[in-house]
Amino acid sequence: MHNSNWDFQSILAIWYRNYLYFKKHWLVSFLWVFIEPLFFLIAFGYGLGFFISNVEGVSYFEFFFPALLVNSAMFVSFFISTYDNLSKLLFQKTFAYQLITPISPQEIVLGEILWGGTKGAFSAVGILIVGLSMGLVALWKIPLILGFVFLVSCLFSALGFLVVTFVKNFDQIIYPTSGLIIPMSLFSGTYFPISNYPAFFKYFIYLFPLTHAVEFCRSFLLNQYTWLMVGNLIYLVAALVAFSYIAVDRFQKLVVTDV
Amino acid sequence: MSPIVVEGKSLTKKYGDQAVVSDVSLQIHQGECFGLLGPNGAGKTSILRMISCLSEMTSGELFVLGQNARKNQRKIKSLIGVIPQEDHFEEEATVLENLMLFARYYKMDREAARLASQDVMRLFRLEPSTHKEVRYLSGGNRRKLSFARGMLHNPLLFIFDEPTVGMDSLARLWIWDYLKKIKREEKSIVLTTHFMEEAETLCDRVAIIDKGKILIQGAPQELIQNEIGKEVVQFEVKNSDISYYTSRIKEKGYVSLTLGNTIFIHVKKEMDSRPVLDFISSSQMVIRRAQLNDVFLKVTGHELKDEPIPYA
Repeated sequence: MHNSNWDFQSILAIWYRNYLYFKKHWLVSFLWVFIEPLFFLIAFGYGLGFFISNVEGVSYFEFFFPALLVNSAMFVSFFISTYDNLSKLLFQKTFAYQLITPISPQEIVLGEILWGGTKGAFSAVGILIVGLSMGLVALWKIPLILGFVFLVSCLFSALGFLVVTFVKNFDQIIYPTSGLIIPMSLFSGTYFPISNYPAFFKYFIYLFPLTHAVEFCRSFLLNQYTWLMVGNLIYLVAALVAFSYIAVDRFQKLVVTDV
Repeated sequence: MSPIVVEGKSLTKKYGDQAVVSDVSLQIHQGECFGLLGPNGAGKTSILRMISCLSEMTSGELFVLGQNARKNQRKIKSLIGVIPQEDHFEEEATVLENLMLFARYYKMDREAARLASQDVMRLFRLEPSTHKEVRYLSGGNRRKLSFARGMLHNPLLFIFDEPTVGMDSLARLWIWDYLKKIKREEKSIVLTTHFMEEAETLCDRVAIIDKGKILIQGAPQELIQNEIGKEVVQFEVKNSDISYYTSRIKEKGYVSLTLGNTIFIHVKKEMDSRPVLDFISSSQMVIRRAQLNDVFLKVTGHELKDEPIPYA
């Protein structure tokens, strides 16, 4: 049913539905996404950074800032995607009524992924303002880095939607959160370089999409351009495509075949 | 004969091994109001969901407005207006925002959407609530918004799931009037209901459904005439007297139906009810016009409730 049945206008309509809500409360969201990373920067930059004179040749601020950017994007997009979409599925019945219209299940999933990506990128704006004022990011890099954060956010938004097709209630979201998102945040080179790990563990860590996101963002912001960044990008895009594909497939079975 | 808008052949819907709809065939013509009658859990909503392309049939063939429901769901959905039993809206958005958003899902351009929104708000007298958030609407206005939203894109076929459930009699009359108006515009309606009176008043044809099967279908008056007759004599008796009465009724050449302690005698058009009245000694006896409900009782063997009532 509904084979490759999507167009961009309908996907945008789903995106717009979320925007309709967002524009009513955007200032509240913005304040929080601005303040929260600031807490992190203070705690780790000044706190931990005090004991660390340099990491891989740069200050702890410089080392931590790119990672904070993608971590924040991951948390925002993953949680938006899981909690909001599960609520739309179970309680608000948003998807149920959207499916009455010519909107296809694919378009719903892709529109929601796009929205999660937008919210993630939006969260980066606050951090980038802080970073800019602290001289951690050059002005010309901001549009590019926003584009990158958008990609990363879409990826974790897709993962979040995938989670929604598995869980039966809000409590179950804790499994992928504690089992995947938190470890990913801790081990993917956010707080310390992955070169510290034994070789075996290092390869394992490269399975995490966040590792590639942190690595790319850090290389880009610290002007350490290498060909590895192309690999990072390819991995991220591939993960986005894979998560989206499976999420679409599962959601379709969930709502249309209803078996 | 007017063109066919819905054609279902041997529709079957199974969940695992359990069939909720089995081997249902129906034809609905343009300008017709077709009613699916049956108790809760009979499979009415499942049939509607298949016609609305919201649920995949397990087997069978279904064409809606000339489109194959297995392939052209998007086309079908753009041509039909579905008004479900439960209303779900964007609660924090206004009435107008809700309508405009819905129009967006149908790819209506902005100006057309605005005009259509104004039209349906006028029709349903929702204009004073244009900029009110939906969560502050009264129950009645919510229901109206649901109808307004369902006809925003000017559909050719309307699908109503229990359109008047939970409404007071005034609101019900108002909705009936509205449905008649749709019919006058040569548009078609499929609805489910468990109000027999509603079906008798509105529907050109009905199908009585129980346990996923169509037991009988036809025009309400025809069904009543053929299956029951002109009148029904209904009375209550003691358990021990049931067999006495049923044999007397049979002797006199009448058909009767017994449910619990109630006996229903069907009086055909050419017959007279007086001969039976002579031997009935029950204080709770009524003679009334035969109704669709009698047809329902006859074909399903139980009243319009969730659970079948066993024969006495």
